[in-house]
Amino acid sequence: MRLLAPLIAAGALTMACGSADAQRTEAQAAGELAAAARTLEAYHQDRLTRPYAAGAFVNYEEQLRSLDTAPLPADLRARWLAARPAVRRPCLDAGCDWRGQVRALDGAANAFRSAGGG
Amino acid sequence: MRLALGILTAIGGFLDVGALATAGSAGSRFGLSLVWALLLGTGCIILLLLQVGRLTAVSGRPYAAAIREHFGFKFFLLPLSVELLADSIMLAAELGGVAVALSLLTGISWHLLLPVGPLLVFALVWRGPFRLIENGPALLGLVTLCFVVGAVMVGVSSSSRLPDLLPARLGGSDVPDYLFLAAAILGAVISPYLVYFYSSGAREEHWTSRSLRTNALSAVGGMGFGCLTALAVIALAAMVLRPAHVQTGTLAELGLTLSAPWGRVGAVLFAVSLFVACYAAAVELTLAIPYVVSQGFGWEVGENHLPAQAPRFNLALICFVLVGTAVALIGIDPLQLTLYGSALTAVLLPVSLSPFLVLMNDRDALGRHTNGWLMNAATIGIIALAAVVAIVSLPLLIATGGA
Repeated sequence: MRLLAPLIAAGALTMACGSADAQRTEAQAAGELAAAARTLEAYHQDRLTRPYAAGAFVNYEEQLRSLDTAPLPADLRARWLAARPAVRRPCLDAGCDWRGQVRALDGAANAFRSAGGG
Repeated sequence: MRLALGILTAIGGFLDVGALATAGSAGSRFGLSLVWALLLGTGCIILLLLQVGRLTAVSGRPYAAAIREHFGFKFFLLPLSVELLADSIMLAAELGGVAVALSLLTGISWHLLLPVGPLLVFALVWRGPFRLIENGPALLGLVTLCFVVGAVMVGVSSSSRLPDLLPARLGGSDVPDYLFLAAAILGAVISPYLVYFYSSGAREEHWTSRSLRTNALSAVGGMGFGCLTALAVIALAAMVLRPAHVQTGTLAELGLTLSAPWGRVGAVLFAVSLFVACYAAAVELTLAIPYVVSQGFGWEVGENHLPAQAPRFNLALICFVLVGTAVALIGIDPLQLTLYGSALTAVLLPVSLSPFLVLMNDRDALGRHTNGWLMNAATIGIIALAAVVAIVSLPLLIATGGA
């Protein structure tokens, strides 16, 4: 039992750290998805230039790329897959459904925020 | 222009790529509750610069040279090697910041724009006299005052946003992130390379004991400018990004803060400010290291000399730019790079600052300009604070993954 106690404690600590890491990843993804939504919205409200929006999405895509391989619960994965096209190919031209992309990004941001304890 | 040295030094501490992101992150997550760290850091760096400016003006020796003379070359090697490693990473981060700024202005991927920064930095530092290097970026750096004007405009035009400035209530899981950001702000502001650069700048300007008023004006005015601008970034992030649940994981989010009051012009202003701040910080870093190396080895030093008159100084400069460029071209996210660079710097912060206590009490070098008991007590407090930052930085970086 003496030998087991430190192992159990170490296991519990590892699980707690792992859980905190997952929460942090989800909270950071929520912040990034919300940023992408607000950037797309601001661009279509004529508050950002096209180069700025395009340059910003290069950064967002790099930050969110890790979600493809992150161990996510099924509901979060579904939300991410719905928002992913907006992150990879944001609608910066007239005639495409930018409002739909903003909704998908906001939906994913809210889901990740809830999962991250926000 | 008497403020130029102080403003250029301040840009490196308060407005470079890491400091901007940290300020944005602090505001968007915790409102104004981390302002205490910024104010504390500003007080500390002002006291350190006042001392190192006085040391250089009165004794004629810059900080690095004085350390080597008093403590010997072996002692000097420790802070020098850490400074070399950390500043190479920081230079790469600033060059990355320049590329991100250009990307936001052009829409081209920042990876493709990475080589532009080193070329622009080298073009200025290779043959530019110190006065041009100092005055040019310092003057351009005034564009960052747009954050201050923007913060006032957002605060005045939308008083409903003012409650977002209030300190956030910390949940249990927020505490490590809060502490990490506090340590990051303190570590960025109390950075040894700022001390080395300021001291070298004072030497280049041939300060004497009659320059002590210029020293006070430059240290207080320059750091005051940096603190005010960083404070405005925190406030803008708190009022614009926090209600929208946006966190600053990249630099691009910060442009949304200036587009709130000014629309497209605001976003462009942000990109220009980011470019100027990162460019100025890269120039500062590119010169700081050759100064430290040359002063430490006792080589001829001088940005005002032709390359042939100070060949080893200029060789160190070329090598440092090449190393920083090589690290930048790996393509690691600039914010990730600053985290590693800052953590490395923080670990040896007390070693870099502790010589102050001896150097500033040396009557042979300073005569009647040695420290009084109050300044010595304040310096001991700063070194103690640096020790705390050194102890907690790495564990917090590991625990939070860089917040």
